[in-house]
Amino acid sequence: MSAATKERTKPQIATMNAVHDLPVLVARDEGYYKDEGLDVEFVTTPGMAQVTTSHFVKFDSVFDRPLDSVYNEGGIDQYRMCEWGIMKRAVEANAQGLRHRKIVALGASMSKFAIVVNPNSKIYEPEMLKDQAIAVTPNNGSDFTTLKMMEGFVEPEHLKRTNAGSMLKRLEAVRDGKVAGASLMEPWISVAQKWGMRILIESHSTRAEAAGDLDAETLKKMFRAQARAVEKIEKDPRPYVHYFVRETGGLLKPEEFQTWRLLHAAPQPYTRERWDDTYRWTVKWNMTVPGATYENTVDNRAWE
Amino acid sequence: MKKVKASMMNAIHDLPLLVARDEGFFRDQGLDVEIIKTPGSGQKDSDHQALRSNIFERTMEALYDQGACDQFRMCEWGVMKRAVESTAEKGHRPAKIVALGSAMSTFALVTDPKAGIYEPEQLKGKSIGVSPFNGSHFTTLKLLEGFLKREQITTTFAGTMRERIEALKRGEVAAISLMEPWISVAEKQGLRVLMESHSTRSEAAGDELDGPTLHKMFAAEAEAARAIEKNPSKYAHYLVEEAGGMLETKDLRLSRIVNAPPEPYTRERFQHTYEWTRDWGLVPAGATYENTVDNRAWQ
Repeated sequence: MSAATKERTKPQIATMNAVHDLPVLVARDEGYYKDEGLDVEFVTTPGMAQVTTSHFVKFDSVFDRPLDSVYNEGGIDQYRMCEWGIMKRAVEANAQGLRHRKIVALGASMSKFAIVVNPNSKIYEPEMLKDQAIAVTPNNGSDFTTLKMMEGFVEPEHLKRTNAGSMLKRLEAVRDGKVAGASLMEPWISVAQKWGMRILIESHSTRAEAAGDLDAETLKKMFRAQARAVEKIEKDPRPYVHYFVRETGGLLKPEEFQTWRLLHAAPQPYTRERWDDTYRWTVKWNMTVPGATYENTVDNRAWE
Repeated sequence: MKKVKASMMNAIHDLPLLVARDEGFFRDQGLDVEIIKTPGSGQKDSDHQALRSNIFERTMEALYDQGACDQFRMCEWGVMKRAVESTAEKGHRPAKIVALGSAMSTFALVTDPKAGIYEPEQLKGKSIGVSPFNGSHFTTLKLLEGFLKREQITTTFAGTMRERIEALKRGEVAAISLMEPWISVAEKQGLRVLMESHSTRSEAAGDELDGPTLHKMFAAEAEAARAIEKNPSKYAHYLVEEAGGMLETKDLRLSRIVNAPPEPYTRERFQHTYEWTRDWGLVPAGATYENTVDNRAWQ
């Protein structure tokens, strides 16, 4: 643990992409954390949805990515990602002796992912992506959700994922014919629609919340603040569209953002049944290592 | 003018056919195409004739069996089932797959927000309302196969599209599979779309319809697909009419309408689709590409 980590006292929450972190951003800006008596520090790390992101992730390693490496160094206490991404990190950090983290909740953002293709292509439905390159962020939500969405349509050996960079870069790659399809989340699905791209398939997907040693009471308050933010967003998402529009760096106007795709729910305990299903699926795809247990990976202390 | 009788059920799957007729594209090909409208689950006041448990007793299939129509289209797996079974079982008029069809209709899985279901995995072991052995059934299996194990996917019959929306709101099923215009109706009513995907149709015909006529029909449908792509709002009325006053044109999500020119049905496609359908126990074993597919429109 670094010296900086030892000195600080405020819990540090990471934020990356607005679509996954919207309840955190809203809870922060509406003062819901303060109302819970929490003085939280927010650490923003580069995410694939931000137009300014330039880093290129590797397929074989997740722990040297910006958010992951800051967490490993002790600069973040709590973060959220797609459910399978958190599963991978929680399981493999233990196995590799890195700073441990556990799954502490099923998360609030039920973010949509969509697979889009060039409208000039002859690809009209998911089966036509057999053996065609689909751009994803390896081992992140766009990768896992692509597998989930495509599994019924294309056999695993014919499902080809590739890395083409940020959401903008992969959208450009589809436009320029460098890849056949791209997996996108908002606001980039809206940008794709604005560009006239064809959306083949889309689905809501789950997040999970991860934390190190943050105490149960603090986690409970954090999740309560997020749940309050969820209620606010569900009532009227329009005041929060600016978080998304900003990520596109001028490529999208507020009225062009498709708010109907936003969906959130209050964080919930991560059940044993859910763990069994998700871990088994992730191991089946060779996306994480076998041998983990519910007991050493999940901790629902916020509800105990 | 060569006379052809083609059947139709639901506008979303038959839109290129309707547009080809109404824009005169069939006439331009020297064809006089009569479209026989049969009950479909997408028509607001449709009865259950199109949903009988024996597929060959359903209106459209029965008309085809009796020789009252020459050509029809349905979801790819539905046509596969009918082509294979009409060939394998005695007493039916054989139909072959003569093209990969033009309407790439979207199907969506929809829940009631009150049910607290936010994503597909939460449908584990829960009832999903579909039309058995039709597009909503097959596409539900395809959509959920990555999220759930096969034995965890539970489909059930819940009537027409309108009836299944009602069943969902009464809490009788956890989710329903819908196509347009009913996805838009569901959205208008505040229901939640969990996931959605485009899906394929196939074209079927008996041996009586010759290759050059089929070729002309598909050329007209291709022309219609291009016209729809250029200006889908012009043709939205076919879909809005099916909703019988439950939807206004402005509420129909036009981006969901995708159509492509009909194409030959390849051996690779047959093998993949037949194996998948057989693997689910939805069609009997023993069919071959040779006795099920006929791409004579391109020969």
